[in-house]
Amino acid sequence: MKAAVIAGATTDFGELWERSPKSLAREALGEALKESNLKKEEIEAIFVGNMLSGMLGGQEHLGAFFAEALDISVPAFKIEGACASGGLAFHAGVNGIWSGQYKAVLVLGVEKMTDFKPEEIATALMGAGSEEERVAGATFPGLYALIASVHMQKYGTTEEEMASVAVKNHYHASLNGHAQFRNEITVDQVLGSPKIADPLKLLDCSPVSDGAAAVILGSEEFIKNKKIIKPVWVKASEVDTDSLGLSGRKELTTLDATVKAAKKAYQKAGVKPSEIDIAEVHDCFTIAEILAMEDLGFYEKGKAGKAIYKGETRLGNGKLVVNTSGGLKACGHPVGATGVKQVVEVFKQLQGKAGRKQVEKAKVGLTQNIGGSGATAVINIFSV
Amino acid sequence: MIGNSPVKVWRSQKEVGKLLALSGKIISFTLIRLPPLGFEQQAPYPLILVKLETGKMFTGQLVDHKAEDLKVGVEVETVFRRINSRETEGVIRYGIKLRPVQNR
Repeated sequence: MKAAVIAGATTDFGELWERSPKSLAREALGEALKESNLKKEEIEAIFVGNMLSGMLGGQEHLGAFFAEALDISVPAFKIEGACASGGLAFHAGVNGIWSGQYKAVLVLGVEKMTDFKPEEIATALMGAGSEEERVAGATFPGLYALIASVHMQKYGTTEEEMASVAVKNHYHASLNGHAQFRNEITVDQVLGSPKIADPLKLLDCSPVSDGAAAVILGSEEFIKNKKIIKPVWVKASEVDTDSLGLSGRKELTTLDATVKAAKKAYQKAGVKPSEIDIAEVHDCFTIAEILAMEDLGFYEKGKAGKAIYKGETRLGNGKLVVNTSGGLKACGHPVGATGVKQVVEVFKQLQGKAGRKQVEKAKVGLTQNIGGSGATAVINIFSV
Repeated sequence: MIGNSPVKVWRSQKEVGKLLALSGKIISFTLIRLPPLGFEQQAPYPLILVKLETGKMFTGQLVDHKAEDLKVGVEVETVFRRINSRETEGVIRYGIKLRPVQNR
């Protein structure tokens, strides 16, 4: 049984005070259907990725909630795995096709965050951490700052190297009409921005965002019957987990869940890291993109910061291009939508429809979506 | 979000005793400048990752410290402190924080 992405779209990401979760979901699905000539009646199940609707909005039961909002009365599920909720929902959708249960499914990632003040968001996001970390007054910038400090001690990674991740991703976002921040920035601007959790500064951190993303997955038979042109095949979709809190980790400079899930994914897809043309990785903080580059096998431990600083993963510069959407940093990070948006970006790149940010001759793509400080990792590999 | 349940706090207190009077060393640190709810009065405050004498790691807030204590390798010990109170009439939560051994 094979599964492919046959449609995908995102809404604008940003501070969308006038928009409700329902209207964001309707727009994302509507755009995906429009570009693919599919009808919503063909969708047999809905998988919703979301983290905070219960804690922030007081609304749970999101499967039925969005089935009603989209007027598609089918089996519907909410999948939660902190900031990896979207990636996990995609994984569940793929399994729905691979198992033969469904022929076509909708994966919807959606999050509404900007209606709340920063302290409320920081508290709600800490639901992804451990009780020990909540008692400590930790925040996610704080936890990734602890990781960054150890990476700096151990490998000599610098604040300038971390800043260069944000600079690259803002450049990519300047080419993405849906991105939250379309302004280019410099290393000095990152270094001079207010400190959030030393050594991380404001411009090292992904923003608080609203947004939705939708993809439609189809089985091989469905694709053949509908004569769908250029499906993007899912070669592997793998998940792994690690301790919720940092104090349970074997290593602080490696996200073991990424390493384990990536190993399974490369094996299943029959692909080596050197064969990946484009990757959307989880740069919730700049240090996280450095970890991802190393844990995914693109660079040796301690070498990724320098390579990113030199511009090796920037559009137009090398073989592997990373975070053409602008990443979480500059495209925005509506947490439940992010993992689905990553798939939309790879889908558009591999179809050759990524516009001004198109990577030439992109054939193989990868997404890496992380929950918490590395407790959940979802790795998907795609090819045309 | 719903506040501290007295039952949940009572249950978790049973675990807190096992962590009292342990020493350890700082392996990483940061300063939290944008705090979660209930910690606004304390910010900015140091968050540290410690390797305890038991061999386990522990994430906690550093208290009773001077600026020069915020360094890798500094010896700290666990102490019992007030954590936060989310509502004016809610349960006041106590738990483990860390202080430099030399500031005992």
